[in-house]
Amino acid sequence: MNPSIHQQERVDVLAKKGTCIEFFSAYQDMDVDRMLGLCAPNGTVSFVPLGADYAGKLHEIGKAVWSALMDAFPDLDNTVKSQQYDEVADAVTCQVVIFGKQEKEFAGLAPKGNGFDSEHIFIFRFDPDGKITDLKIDWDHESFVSQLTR
Amino acid sequence: MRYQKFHPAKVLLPFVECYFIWEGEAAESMQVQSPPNSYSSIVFNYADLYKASQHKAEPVVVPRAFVSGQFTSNYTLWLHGKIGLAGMVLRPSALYNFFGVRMSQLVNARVSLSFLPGLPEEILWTAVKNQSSDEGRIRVLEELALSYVTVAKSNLTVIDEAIDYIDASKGCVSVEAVASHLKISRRYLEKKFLEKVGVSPKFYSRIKRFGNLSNKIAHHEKIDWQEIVEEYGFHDQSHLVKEFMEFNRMNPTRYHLVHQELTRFVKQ
Repeated sequence: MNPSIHQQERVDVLAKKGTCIEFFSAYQDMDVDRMLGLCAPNGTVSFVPLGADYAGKLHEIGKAVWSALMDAFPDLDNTVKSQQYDEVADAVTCQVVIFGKQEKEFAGLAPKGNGFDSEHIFIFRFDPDGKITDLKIDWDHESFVSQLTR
Repeated sequence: MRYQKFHPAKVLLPFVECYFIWEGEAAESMQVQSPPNSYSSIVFNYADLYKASQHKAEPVVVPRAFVSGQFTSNYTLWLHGKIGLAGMVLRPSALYNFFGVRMSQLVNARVSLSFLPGLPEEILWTAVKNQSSDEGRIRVLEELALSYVTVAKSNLTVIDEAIDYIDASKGCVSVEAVASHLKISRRYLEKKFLEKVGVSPKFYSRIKRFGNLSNKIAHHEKIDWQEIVEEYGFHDQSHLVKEFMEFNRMNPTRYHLVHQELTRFVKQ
């Protein structure tokens, strides 16, 4: 076995994982425009626990949700725990802890000065130019709400 | 088991933190876990192959000559058999300054050295492997670094000053304060920092703060936790515990205890 050949991660996979890191870095920087700059113009997003009302275009639904989150949680931050590429789905799955303290109303939840800390799963898909074409985000919404309303 | 550090030539100090040799034998399977540490590296393995994993992912075999960028979470090395590693611990922007690569691609990754443009992986690995002494191996690493020093110097920018400023502040500084100190806009700092380091300045400060804090806890017999909370800018003790659990998989009290036991063991 030649380890240098068998264990080398493909350059296109590294590029996709790199785009995910750039997305979460822009998220840390609270820069929605930079997050969206990594997405294809017609890319789609689904905030899974919130249902069909929160599925649509990255540049519309995504922009609205992230802008509202950043407004309500001014210290919003994240830690990327791991990234894994799925060859069959051609997708990168990221386990990410999102956390922040609520200062303003968010999705009908009045601020009580509480923080949340929630492990999220982000599944990214890309077009041939490396732009994000689809993003699915899942988390334990019940826990998220209970942390903010306790 | 032997882990020894070596200092780089003075001209390399802006880029190379140190070199290391790690040799030993893991007769039983051995796991070594590490928090993110803000450095990148180039490593040559001249002994048995080993595996690495991050968070809950399956361990994967590490290339025998690899480059790695920043890590965003704790990782584990799975070693078994003969250990022989020679490496270069690099300052956060060094890989960008040497090779001009897109650093975000190297985050959370150990990538075969051939990823770096112009590096003859096979020749370098053979040169390291064939050396019979630490000095010989370190010389191969030093010559490699020196061959890039001119180009690396020409790539130094205000972002390298930002890194130095965050380091000097032990990571206890806001992005706004760094931008203001360097008289650049926050958005410019964030964009260019990501390009050169691979993570945001906010996250870099966080891991730098964690590294400094861990070092303090490890080397002090008595700890005033409230003082730590205030000195390192945590909201409260639960915030401190959360940071420790996230990066080190144990709470700070346990970490302190483990290091005190280790210190007593070493003294004996």
